[in-house]
Amino acid sequence: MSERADPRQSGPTVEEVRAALKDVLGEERLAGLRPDEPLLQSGRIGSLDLVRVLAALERRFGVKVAPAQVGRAAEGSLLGLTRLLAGGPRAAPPAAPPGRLLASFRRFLRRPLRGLLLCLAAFALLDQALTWALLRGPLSGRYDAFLERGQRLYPGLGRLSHDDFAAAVEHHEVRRVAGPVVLVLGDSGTVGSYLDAEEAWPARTEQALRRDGVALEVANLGFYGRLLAKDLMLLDLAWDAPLEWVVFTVGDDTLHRGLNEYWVRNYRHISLNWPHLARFLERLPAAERAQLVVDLAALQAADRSRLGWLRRAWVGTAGLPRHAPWIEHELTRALLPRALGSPLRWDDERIETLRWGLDPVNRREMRVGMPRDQFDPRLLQVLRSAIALLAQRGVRTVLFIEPTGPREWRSPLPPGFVSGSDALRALARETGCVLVDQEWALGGGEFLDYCTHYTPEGHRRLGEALAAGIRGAR
Amino acid sequence: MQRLSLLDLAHVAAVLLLARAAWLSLLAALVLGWLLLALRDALPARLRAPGLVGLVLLVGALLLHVRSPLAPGLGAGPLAFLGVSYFALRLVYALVDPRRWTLTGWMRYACFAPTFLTGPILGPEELLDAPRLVAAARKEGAARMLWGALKLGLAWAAANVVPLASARQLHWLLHEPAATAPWAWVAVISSGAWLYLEFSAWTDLAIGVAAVCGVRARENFARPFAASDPTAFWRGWHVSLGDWLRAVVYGPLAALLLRVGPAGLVAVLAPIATMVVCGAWHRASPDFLLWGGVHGCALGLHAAWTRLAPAALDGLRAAGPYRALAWVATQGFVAASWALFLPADPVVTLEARLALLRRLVGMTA
Repeated sequence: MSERADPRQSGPTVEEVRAALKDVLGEERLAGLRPDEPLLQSGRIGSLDLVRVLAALERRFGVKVAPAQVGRAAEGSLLGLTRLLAGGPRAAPPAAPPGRLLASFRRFLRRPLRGLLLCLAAFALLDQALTWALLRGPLSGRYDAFLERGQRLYPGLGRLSHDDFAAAVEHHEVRRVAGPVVLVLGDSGTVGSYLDAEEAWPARTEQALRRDGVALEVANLGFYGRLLAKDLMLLDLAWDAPLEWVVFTVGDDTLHRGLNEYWVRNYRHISLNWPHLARFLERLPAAERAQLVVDLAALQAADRSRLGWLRRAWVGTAGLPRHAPWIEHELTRALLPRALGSPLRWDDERIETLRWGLDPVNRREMRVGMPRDQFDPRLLQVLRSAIALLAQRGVRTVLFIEPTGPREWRSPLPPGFVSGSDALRALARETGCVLVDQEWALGGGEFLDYCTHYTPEGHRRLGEALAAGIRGAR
Repeated sequence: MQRLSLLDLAHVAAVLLLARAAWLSLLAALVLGWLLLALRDALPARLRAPGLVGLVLLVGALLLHVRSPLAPGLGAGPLAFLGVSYFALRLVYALVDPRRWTLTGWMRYACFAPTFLTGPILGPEELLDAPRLVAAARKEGAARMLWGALKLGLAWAAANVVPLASARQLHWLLHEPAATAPWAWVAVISSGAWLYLEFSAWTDLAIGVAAVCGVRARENFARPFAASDPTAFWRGWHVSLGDWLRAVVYGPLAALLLRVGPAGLVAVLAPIATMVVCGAWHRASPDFLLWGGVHGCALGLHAAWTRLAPAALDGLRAAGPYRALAWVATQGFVAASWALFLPADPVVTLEARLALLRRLVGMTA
């Protein structure tokens, strides 16, 4: 705070202040100092020197100047200090010299409207050039193949093949199986997140069955993201395989997100292959299909638009958004093929918000919670129909029911949250399919500390439980 | 008493909109701020200095409480807006500013919308005393906004491929055996660059909007990646926070310590204490305190080195290889320290952050 212990009509001169500084800092450090040069920001003095300088000025001129007044560049020069000691008006901070890139950009955009138009023109030009390069350039073959396979960008590790539909199918090689197959549909828990494929519960099931003399091959078709639509498209893909059992890994998530366009849009690592999904839905009774037509359209719309608002604004108006997933896909694979994941996004509209922050670092806050809405009964109907379709082919079904989720499991469910597990148990009884409850097998634990995936012991227990269920039913 | 103009009211409306669901909490924080300023002015002269220290500590304690992950009902309650760090920082600047505050002045200062969410942290004199910008500077502000928006778009697009942009991505990194030390270094370096891109984009936007509103806001970044010592890095990284810390924490603390201890010791201890406060300001959790602490130690070590190294080494310090080595060491240290900072998500435990640090030195177990 600027207080005059001994007011003077006119404050010290710049030279007097310079002399006071010289006593503290020495002649050498003040050599060539311009009156308007900020002492601190120029690196000429350090923070501690500043404190000592202020103490010296107070001793010499009887005026106390707080660090808050000189910490900023405008006041922290000889001129600024002189002004403060004289109790004069403070100067506005000078404009920082812009970087070279920014300076040229500023010149370029001296008029904002012209700048905006130029930016739009640049985008359009880039868009056209990109489209031309992708459709006619040397990369056109790869791009066509990408579109053909319906691949999308879902950043992932690669090793566990959860990053896109085609990779998941290739990894699991479901088409090449020869013998009777137990087809497992599921999510990241089924894949065996953070573990080797041999440690995941489907592989453990196969080992347990083989140990007991049951020769069944377990095909793990789980991949990341819990969405009933994804299970259905994979089921269509494997429809012609020699299936004996199909294991649906289901739970609350299935019934909340099953065919929900919100999740398609926001759960970025869920990849849908529309031809396969549509073909499976063709197999359903006409009445159920009719009920789902609207949802399918909404899903497709969500799928198209899920890559962010910026690209959403471009969809339909330019080629760039159509190519962006491929570019991301290729760049990701080229630059960071392994050490990547996907941002975790929860429903941020209908949940309890546990924490929020508005500064740039915390802006990307994680919101945790579950939708409060009850599950969609149509999803149960779709599941019922799928079980019936499989039964017509002589394929038996297991409903492998997940716990509500470790987060919720470890603490009481949020108010208003309705568990889908009871409805799924009722469905199993009604359709006569085998019911294996993961909660029984896991005994209330065996989840990793940092996420909602199982420990190796958890996978072992699940594998044993499922094998026992299949063995008992045979 | 000067009245609030229509433009001032527009700023108040804008910050209430920015506060979204927490608008009531913002109003409560504004009232609390006004009461604290009034209390400061009501203090008798002999109690002014200790009272001011007490009030600043009170705001700091409230801020830490709200921003602590251990606080019950984190982010909720009538004081939640103190958790929006920039508001609390402005309040402290207002408390230490010698002027006698009017309600109009306080509202005008606290609710200046362009820098409300992301800084830069402006002092009262920049907002209330400085002359308004001329039309040409306002036009430049518009260009700066556009520049910030472009950078922000780029930063958001890049968030999908930045390894430490989310807790989930960190977990992938930690549990992927193939992500060895070089990958971990790629992760921390690229994540630091991404943080700079995003934060400086917000700063560009804020400075641009402030200029359009006629206020010249200070810069927040000054080539931090060119720094070849920790002190230079902090002179270039989040400059307005550095100014605030220097003015409110470091300055008074160092002045106090200088009365009781030798300058050499103060030069080492004061930055450590200041940077621990800096870490706590980000979040009062062990990982952020450790992040602040290691940066404080680096600043302290650098201060000790510059004070103690014999003058004979001046030639060495000016040599190209030494400067290159210093740059690599500084930037390497800063990059490694992001392992304690990013992703800034409370679900990430200190253990996970330490595991990433171990990964950086090649320990994968």
